[in-house]
Amino acid sequence: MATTPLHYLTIAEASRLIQGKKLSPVELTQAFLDRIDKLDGKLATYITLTADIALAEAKKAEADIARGTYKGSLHGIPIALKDNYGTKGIRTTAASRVLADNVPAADSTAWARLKAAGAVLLGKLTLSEFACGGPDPETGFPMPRNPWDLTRNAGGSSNGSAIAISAGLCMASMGTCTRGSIRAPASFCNVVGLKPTYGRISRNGVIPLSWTLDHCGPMTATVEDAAIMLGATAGHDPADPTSSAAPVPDYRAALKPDVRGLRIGVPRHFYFPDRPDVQREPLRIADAALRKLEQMGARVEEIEIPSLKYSDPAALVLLLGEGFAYHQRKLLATPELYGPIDRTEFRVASLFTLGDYVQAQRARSLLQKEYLEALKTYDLIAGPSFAIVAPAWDGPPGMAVSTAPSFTGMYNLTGLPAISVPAGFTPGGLPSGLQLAGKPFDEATVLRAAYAYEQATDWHKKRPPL
Amino acid sequence: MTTKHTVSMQDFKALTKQAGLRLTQKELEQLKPLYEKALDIMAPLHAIDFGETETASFYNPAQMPKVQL
Repeated sequence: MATTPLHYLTIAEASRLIQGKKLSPVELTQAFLDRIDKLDGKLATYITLTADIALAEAKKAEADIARGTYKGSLHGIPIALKDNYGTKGIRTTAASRVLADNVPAADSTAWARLKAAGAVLLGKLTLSEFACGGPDPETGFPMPRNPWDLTRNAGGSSNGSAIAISAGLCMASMGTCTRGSIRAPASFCNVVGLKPTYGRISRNGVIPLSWTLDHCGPMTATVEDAAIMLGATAGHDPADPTSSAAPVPDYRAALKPDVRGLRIGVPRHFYFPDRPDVQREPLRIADAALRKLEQMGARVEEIEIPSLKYSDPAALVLLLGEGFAYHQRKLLATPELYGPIDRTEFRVASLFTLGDYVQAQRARSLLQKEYLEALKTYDLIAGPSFAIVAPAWDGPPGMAVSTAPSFTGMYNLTGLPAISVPAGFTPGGLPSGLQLAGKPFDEATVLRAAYAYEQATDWHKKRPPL
Repeated sequence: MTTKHTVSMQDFKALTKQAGLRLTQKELEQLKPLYEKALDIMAPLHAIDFGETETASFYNPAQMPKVQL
């Protein structure tokens, strides 16, 4: 007898029930629509709710399955997309007045693949404007509230996605990540956020911020669900010349709760610094998680990656510099349409020099070399997902121009796969994640280690006090 | 980080004008500290001698459509 409410079923659990015709996709979709109706007034995650489309898709899924045409684990599963993923005929705003009336003529490739797998679209989720920085109340778009503490937000930029999954307002989402925008909100909301290898998932049809650093990736309640979403979206796309033709393995089949013999390197000099802008609790939580992995049979060792000191400046230049290049025409012509955070930061980037950009790319080259060297010895590199827990709404705005260290940007610079998995809570009840990163296109090992840790703990089962 | 970069308002105005920004005096005064902060953050990139390290971006001919010769 199912005791888990429908809105907190995982994709894996729901798909077994749907395939066995014990759960109707229509009933499941309606459960989410009811919960959105009940809670989204205060959580503010949806920019566009596509209730009619969702129910129509759910009915079609139900009819197809009844006829014996079952497409797989995502058939009839209700998900939502960060509102920078293009959806044909459905408004895609990037949470900006600049694109308030933008209706794409085509689906993004990632959504097209999920749709082909039978996923049901509940709607489009809020984000930081153009996926840059933290939430900006002056954009006029929904300002999402963290379900673990409504006085806090979920950082950025995939904040709507993280909150919606955590609060049971969708079963999974696709986020984007330029310097941590999947892993940070995931860490702040006690969900799983995977940034795969650069080129693993096509960026075609997703509104860009930085072509060098942008990645698409799944956000889910569990690691198994992330493996399912990755399997459905990964693979070469002729429409995205940066997408990789590397084979797509069965990520779900590779999930084994076993880390024995895995070698995990921890650059403690960077990830566990003694500085006031790095909170103690995320470090304590990550340290405890690493000790757990050791108890489970992994070998955890301290390592040095000296070029990490260039990670923050390089990521800043590339993120904002390329973002400015993309927005230059519109920003100079109609700056008033942008929120103050993006407007100000893109204006700063307009003053960066060519020398800044070239040096950033050289720093990136050095960082890639050092990481790949470390990964000859180690299977994974680990640390806390973020330097802080969820920020308060009445605190300083989340800016890309910040002296606080980023624990995530180096994996955008190097393109390596990295995941944030729930790892514990502060005494005040705020979640924080463990970040595991791996070799290029070795999402299987990253997912396996994250899965093993997840299954050995209960953090992912905890629900926000809603 | 110990370096604190400062730019004169005159120089800053010139930079913004060259970049095509049309800013009011208030906007200039608000933007200048953020620019100076960005300079502080970027300083390590210019303090290091990267030696022979090339830029990370590269052009991959394999991504081009096949050319008939």
